[in-house]
Parts: sequence; C-alpha cells; structure tokens
Amino acid sequence: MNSLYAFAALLVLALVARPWIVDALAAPVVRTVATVFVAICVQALPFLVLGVLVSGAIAAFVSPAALRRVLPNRTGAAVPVAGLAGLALPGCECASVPVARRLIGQGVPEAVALTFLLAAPAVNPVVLVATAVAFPGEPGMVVARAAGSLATACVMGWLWQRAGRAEWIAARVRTPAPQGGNRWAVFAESARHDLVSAGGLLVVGALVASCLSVLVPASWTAGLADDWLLAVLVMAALAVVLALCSEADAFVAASLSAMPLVPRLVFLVVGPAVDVKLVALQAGTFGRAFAARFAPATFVVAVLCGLAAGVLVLGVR
Amino acid sequence: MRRETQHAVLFLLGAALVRIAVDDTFLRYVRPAQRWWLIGAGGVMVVLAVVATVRDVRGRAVPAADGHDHRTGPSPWLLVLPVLVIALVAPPALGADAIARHTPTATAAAVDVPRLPPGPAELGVAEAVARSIDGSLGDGRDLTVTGFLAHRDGDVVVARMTIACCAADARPYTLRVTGAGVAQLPVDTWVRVRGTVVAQAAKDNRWSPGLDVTDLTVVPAPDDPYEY
Repeated sequence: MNSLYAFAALLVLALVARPWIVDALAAPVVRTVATVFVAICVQALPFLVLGVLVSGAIAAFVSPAALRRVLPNRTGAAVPVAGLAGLALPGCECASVPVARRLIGQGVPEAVALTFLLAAPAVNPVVLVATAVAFPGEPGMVVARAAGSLATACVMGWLWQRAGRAEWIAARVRTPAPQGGNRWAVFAESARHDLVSAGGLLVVGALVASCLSVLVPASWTAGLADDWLLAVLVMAALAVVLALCSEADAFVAASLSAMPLVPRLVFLVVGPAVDVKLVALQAGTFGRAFAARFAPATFVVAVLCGLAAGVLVLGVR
Repeated sequence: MRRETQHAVLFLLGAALVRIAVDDTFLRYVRPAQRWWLIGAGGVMVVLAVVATVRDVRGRAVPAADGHDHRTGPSPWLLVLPVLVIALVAPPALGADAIARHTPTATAAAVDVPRLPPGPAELGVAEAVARSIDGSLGDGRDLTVTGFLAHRDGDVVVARMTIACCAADARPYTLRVTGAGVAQLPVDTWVRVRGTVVAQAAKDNRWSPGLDVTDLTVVPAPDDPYEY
C-alpha cells in the first residue's frame, strides 16, 4: 500500500469520525490550543512561502560564482555583511531558514549563511518599526534591539567559523542545485521541496508552541518585577516557548508592563533567534546534530548580547 | 512519502488557506490585512502542486535539488494536521477560556490621542481600558461597549482580545460588569452593554474598570472578533 492510498484512507476516516473529533475538541482548553495552533500556522505559512520562493530563486538563478563575487573573500569580514543583508528580507524567522539552507547549498560559507539566518528576522525594517510603535517614548528599545540582535548574529557567525564543524550540518544541505537544464523547473521543484519539508516541521513547532503558550505562562510573569536577573531568565525562556512572530513580539513585550525594561529587551532579542518552531525547522533542515548544538549556543549568546545591549543603551531598569 | 501524496497534501493545504481567506474564517486567527497574503500563499501552493503533478505525469521530473527527494522523512504528513483541523473543526476565535487563563494586561497611556469629549461614549473595550488608565474616563461616565462575557477572578467581565499579528499574541482587555442580569448569561455570549462607570482600572483589579450595566442586548458575534 503506498502513501497516496494511506492519505485517502486518512481523509475518509477523518470525515467519518468527524462528530467524535468535534466532541474531543469541545473542551474549552483544547479549543483554545486548537485556535492558537491554527493561528500560528495561518500566520507563518505565507512567510514560509515567501521564504521558499526566495530559496528556490537562489537555487535556480544565482550561481555559486555570482555569490562569491558579491561577498568579501574573508569569511570573518563576510559575517557582518551578512548581518546587515538581513535588513533586505522583511520576513520573519520561518522565511529565513530555507533561504539560509540554499545559500549554503550554493557554496556560501556556513558561518555567513547562519549569520544571515539569525539577522534576517530580527534586524529588518518591519520588525524595527513594529518595535518603535509598541514602545512609544522609548526609542532606546529600537536601538538596543537592533544592536543586540545584530551582535547575536555576528557572534554566532564568528563562533561557527572558529568552532563549527562541517559534519554537524546534514550532507544534503551542501549539494548545489543541478546546473543547466530548465531553470524554471529547478525553481519550481526547489521551492516545492523546501515548502513540503519545512512546512511539516513548522506544524510541529506550532503544535508545541500552542500547547506551551496556553498551558504554561499565566503565573510565570507575576511577581518577577523585583527580581531583575530572574526576570531576564524567565523572559528568555518565555521567548523560546511562545514562538511569536518577530513582527508581533514587541506588542506582547510592551503589554507586560510590570516587567523591567531590560528583561523585555532580552525577550525581543532571544525570540527571533531561538524558539520552539525555529528549532524544529532547523533540526529538519540542517539535521539534529546541528540543532542540538546551534540552538543552545544561540540561546546563551542571545541572552548575553541582549543583556549587554540593554544595559548599555537603557541602563539597569 | 511518495511525491503524488506530497502534491495532494500541498494542494489541499493551499486550497484550505484560500478558502478561509475568502469566507472570512481567517479573521478568527489573524489580522484582516493578512487576507491577500493568505490568498497569495495558498495560490502559490496550489500552483506548485499542480505544476509538479503535471511534470511527474509527463515523466519530466527534474532531479531533486538535493538528490534526496525520496527521503523527506515523516514531516510532510504533518502538513495534513492543519488541513484537518481547519476543514473539520475550524476552531472558534479565542474566548472566555483564554480570558480566564491570561495574565493581567495594561496599556501604556495613549499618546497623541485627543481627550475623550464629555457625554455618553461608545468605545472599544481596549480603548475604554486605556482611557480609564489615562484618566479621561471618569466615574459616572455613560459608557457603551460590545464584547463577550467571561469570568475572571470571580468577576463577570465584558472582554475583547487585541492582536498584533495572530491569536498567539492576543492580549485580553476586560471591564467588570454588574447589574442587568449579566451574571445569568453563559460565558462567550456576545453582548452590547450600556451603563455607568463605577470604578477605574488599577493594578489590583487587573486593569479592569467597573461598569454598572443598565441596558443589555445580546448581539451576534461579529465577523472580526478582535480589536487592534
């Protein structure tokens, strides 16, 4: 029996069992989780589609030689360039994973592609404007967020250049797209393939995030206003768990007005760099060995960079 | 997963996105501005699925860009999950359950907004809370709001959620209501209430102004249940 029959059987079964499924989802808490789950999927899928169109275009139309001409020869110098290039892709984190993957496939050094992966969702005009709107009267938040995120991306790039090992990234990522032949066919097939594989992983991330965000945080943020350092850690953990779109997280941070400002900044720096749906996407795209090392390292670096940027720009408050 | 099945799943997911965008179901999950994004993304999915199917049928499949297409792992199956949840259940907008489990919310005092003129006012729930915090919605004001009923800390409240992107970032705004039979109605009932402001938003009442209701109308749930 092949998967097409299995798929058809699944659909028939779902239709027949619909009354029971609806009953099972009738409990209020399950309905809330289901709503948040669908919301995250519906919110993120258009960005993922944008990302796979860009990644497909890179695979089909941008030759490895052309990329080498654009980037500085020394990897160490190319890292900050990649960080600033993040300004050009106004998407959120889901879009940048397939793009970074295809960049590596087309021969861009891994450290450079990973810097782009971390910078693109955090340092782009849409996100910075959203942050300014969410924190009226606190222009320091925008500056500190841009600085903290850019620092996180560059530090991770340089760290990978020194300590990263090529074998941590799954071998399939490094195979360039076939040259010659019909470019449009390569484009459509690359985009379709990236969409199907990344989309499934996005669903895993959305499922985990929706369960955690509905079930966990109600009491987490209460009573932390006095313990500044604990507040930093809780907000960092919350950023991972909630998996908010980087264009929306500033509004949530702004609404937690009982919190000191720097922990909320750490929330904004960590969120676009590490969260549960992003880790799922990275594990599926670059391999588990990669995600198991990259995600924890990024978390630590992002917390430290967020703290440093916050204390320097905003002071201890 | 076989290629045909991947195409079928992708086609269904794209069709589901277009459908919820066209019939306004998407307003339960994301902002109205997302409609064209959803139609565009769903359209791209459908086109990619159809193109791949046609090419496969004609035997012109390009070699997969990474040479590993036959090993996509189990993850494409998971794309079926949102399709099934959307098609079979279409979960409702966030309601009383989300209000009951949410942390308190406060808005910063609204800047650059002209002060509320005196006299009876009809406001959104979030704006009423913000007005109470910035001091321009005094006790005794005649206020009308529309929202759904929920319970919070033992109080009956009229609530609305505001969203910035999607329901995952929803923040609750509530007014504590008394009188006019509000306690007899089930939660998640949509009501338009008119009454007198009797208490201001403060930290110890979870930033919920008090409203003594004199007039209550049960109304149908609006197409767009969120405020912005």
